[in-house]
Parts: sequence; structure tokens; C-alpha cells
Amino acid sequence: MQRKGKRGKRKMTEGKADFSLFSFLFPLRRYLELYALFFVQRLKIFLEYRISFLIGASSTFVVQAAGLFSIWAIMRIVPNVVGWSFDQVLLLYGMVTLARSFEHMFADNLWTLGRHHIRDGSFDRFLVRPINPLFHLFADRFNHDGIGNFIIGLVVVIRSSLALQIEWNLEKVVCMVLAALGGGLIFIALNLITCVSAFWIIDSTPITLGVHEWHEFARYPLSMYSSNIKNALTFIIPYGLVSYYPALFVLGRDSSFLAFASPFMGVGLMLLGYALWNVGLRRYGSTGS
Amino acid sequence: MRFLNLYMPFGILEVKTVFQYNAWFWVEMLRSIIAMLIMTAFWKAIYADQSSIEGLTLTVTLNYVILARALGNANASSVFWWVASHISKGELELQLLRPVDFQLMHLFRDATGWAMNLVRSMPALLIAILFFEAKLPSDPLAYLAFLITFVLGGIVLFFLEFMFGCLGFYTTEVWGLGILREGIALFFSGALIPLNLMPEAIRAFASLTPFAQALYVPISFLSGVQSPSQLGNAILTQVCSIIVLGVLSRMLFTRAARVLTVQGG
Repeated sequence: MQRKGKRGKRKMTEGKADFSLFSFLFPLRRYLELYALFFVQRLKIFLEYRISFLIGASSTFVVQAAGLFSIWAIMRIVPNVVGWSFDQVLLLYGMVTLARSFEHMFADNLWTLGRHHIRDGSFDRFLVRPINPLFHLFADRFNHDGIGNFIIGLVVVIRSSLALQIEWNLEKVVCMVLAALGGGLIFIALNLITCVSAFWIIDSTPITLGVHEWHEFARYPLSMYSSNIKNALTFIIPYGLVSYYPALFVLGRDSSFLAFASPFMGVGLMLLGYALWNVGLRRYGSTGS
Repeated sequence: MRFLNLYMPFGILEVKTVFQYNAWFWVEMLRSIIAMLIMTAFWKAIYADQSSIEGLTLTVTLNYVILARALGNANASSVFWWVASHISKGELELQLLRPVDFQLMHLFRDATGWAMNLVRSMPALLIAILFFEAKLPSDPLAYLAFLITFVLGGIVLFFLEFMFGCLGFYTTEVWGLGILREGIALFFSGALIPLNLMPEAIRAFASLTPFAQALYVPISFLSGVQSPSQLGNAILTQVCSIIVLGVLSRMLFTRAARVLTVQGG
């Protein structure tokens, strides 16, 4: 790559030069327009493979339904797990699914960064264009499979909160919205932090999966687990902030500040992930082939 | 410094290679542990106020869900994904031209895989026994019942997966179809809860599905949910399923092979 002429080299660095932390945020309008362009391109692919699109979006639906059905089958007999009713557990489940759907829809490319882009050198494509490479990676592939997760998460949250007859007020609504958006950020950020390892070890999927898998804990009340696991899910791999603490607040069981912590944690982890990403980018030397 | 720059990459390459192969092993291990931690916590909480649910004690239920997690997928079939990947690469027609029975070839390929999967699931099983109170039966008949129903169930599932694969001949795009099938399997196989805990109507239907034949039946013998005395019935159901699905999948394959669309071919 470096042997290319002066022009080529300058182009490379233009894409790569945006290393300052907030460069991601400033040209917001341009990036939104660009995202729309990428999105339309993806849409054309979906229209080309319509059946596949429908099956893909509904397939996540079926997998989630299987999990929910199992919980229902048990809790129809025993309606109480560490003091949580079926509808309350459902609320946790829905909140995790909803937050996860943002990562699934908007940041799915992180999963295969190493396998599909770094290994064969096609990651160069993200560097030679005059936009932020990370943005490019996100925008390159909107994953429609995540829509199924989004819908089922939303439906489950609404259904359970109706069944629980939650008395909504502004605080609770804000808490829920922040939990979903901040939770989405936590999901994306943890995947970003782990996927950066692809710059060193090429296939980062096992590492990402190893951390991602912890979100399974957050589908149930954290009080079910030992205090070590509970603390880990609150402070280290903070998926607990996505569901458990906001749910405690919305259900009126507890009003800890942790209920509102997910956006802060999300943004913090994103910044950390972005810093690591930039370290990785500097290390990236293409495949040389 | 120059020396280091020159020779370091060789060292790093070695690390990368070793890591690549081991990483998946460890991550699967971690996933098993996470799943077992959740299951143990969940079921202990469920059983907090009762000693038995639908005739199953905490020990038996935990045993079942943990063994299902460790061994449940060992007799899974890869024929669906095999067909799927060959369709998307446009290589399927070459495979069909081979002078062997396409279906039998895959059954043998799968069966070898089951044996390897059993060996590969040993570490997870060991963790389950050492750290999660899973108990293997003391009655040798239970192991026999497990092995017989494990193999027969695997064959039942194979024929069904084969039919799913044939659907790929029609839709040409199979990834979504695969996930859809996984969801259905998760639902009816008893992978998440013993079928005994499901409502009666669903339980009756689920126990007849190939998914339950392949997972619930063998695991229930190994975990003590079913006693070996019920082996006869179980075998009868499985053999009947094999005959019905075998004939059906044969018919579907002959039809599907005629309409096969090969991408880029």
C-alpha cells in the first residue's frame, strides 16, 4: 500500500487522519446523509432477495419465542423466581432484547471484522474513503435480522408493562428510553472493544462472543446469582445496567442511581472502544498480498 | 532492534496459530459455564418453595438441563448447512454427480460426526459433573438406553434436516431458513426444559417431533427423567419416525434435484 504514488498515500491518510476523539460527532449532518445513502443501498439488496429478508427478520422472532415459551411453561407452574413474577421476568427479557437489537441492526459488522475484512485485506476499502473508517464499517451493513429482535423486544416490554399495570410517569419513561438506548450503546461498545483484537489476532469472533454471552445473565433478576456475578454484571461487563436496575426502578422496587447509569456507561465504554480502535487502526498494515 | 523487527513476526505467527484453534475451544467452554451458572441459579430459585414439580425433583431437573446443554447437540446433523453452503457457492451439482447415494453418503458423514461430538463434549460434561452437581446414572442400562436412542434419534433428525436442505433447492437462499429451523428445534426438542414441564397438549405434540426424538429422549434416559424400562416404547417410536421420514425425504429429494437452481452455474 505504501508504495503507491503520493496521491494514493495522501488519500489513505485522509481517511485515517480523523483520530481526535469527537471527530465522529462533528460532521453529523453529512454522516446522517451518508448513512441514508448506505441504507438505501442495503434496501436494494433486500428487495432483490425478498423471501430471504422476510425469513431473516422473522427467524430471530422464532428463536426468541422459544426462549420465552420455556420460561412461561415453568412459571405457569411456579409463578415466582426470587420474588419476581413471570411478567416481571418478561420485562427484563424484553429490555435486554430491545437493547441488543440496536447492536444487531447497526453494528453487526463488528462481529466479522477480522474474518471478513482484515484477513483478506478488504478492510483497505474502509480506509481509502474520506469518511471515518469506523462509521463506514457500521454503515456498510445494516442487518435486517435485528429488526425481528427490535420488534419482539418492544412487544414484550409493552405487553409485560401493561400486564404489570405500571403507573407511568416522566421519570419512568425517561428511564426506560435511556435504558434501551444506553443499553444499545453498551452492547455495541463491548463488541467494539473486543473486536479491536482482530487487528492483532485476525479472528476476534471468539473473544467478542465470550464477552457478549454475558448478556444472557441479564435476562433474569440479578438477585438470583452470587454477589460476584452480580457485581461483574454491574461494573465490569455491565449488562445488568441494561435490564435489572432500570426494571427495579420502573417497578418501584428500588431507586438506585444505577437505574440511570446505562447511557453514561455506554458512552464511556464507546469512548474507550474508539480509543482502542484507533490504536488498532495504527497497527493495521493490510495483508501485503 | 532490527533483529527483533525481523524475527518477531515469526514468533507472533505461532501465537496466532495456537490461539486461533484454542480460542474457540475456550469460548465454547465459557459459554457452557455461563449457561450452567444461569440454569443452576434459575432452577434453584424455582425449586425454592417446592421439592417436586410434575414429578421431577430439583436434582433430576438440573441434571436434565445441564446434560441437555452439554450433550444435546452431539447428534445434530450438519447436512442442512452442508447443502446450504454448497448451494451458495454453486458447487452442489458436482456433488450430485458422484456415483454414490447422496443421502447415505451424508448419513455416514454425520454419524462419524456424532462420535466426535461425544468426545468433544467431554470437557463440558466434566465441568457439569465436577462443579454443577450433574450426576450420571449408576445403572448400566441407562447408558445403553441413552446410546441406542441417541443414534436412532440422530437418524430421525438427519432425515428431517435432509428435507430442510432440499427446501434450499427451491429458495436458493438458506441462511434465514436455517435460523428458523433452529428456533423451531429449540422449542420442541426439550433443549431448554424437560418436556414434562410443558403443558399437556404441547408436550404430546413435541414428544413426537424429530427434535425431541433426537434430544429429549436420550437425555431423559441419561438424566433419570425416564427409567430404562421405557426403552421399548422409545425405540418403537423412533423406528417408526425413521421409516416415515426416510421415505418422505427420499421422495422430496428426487423432486427437488430436478428443480435445483445453481447460482452462477
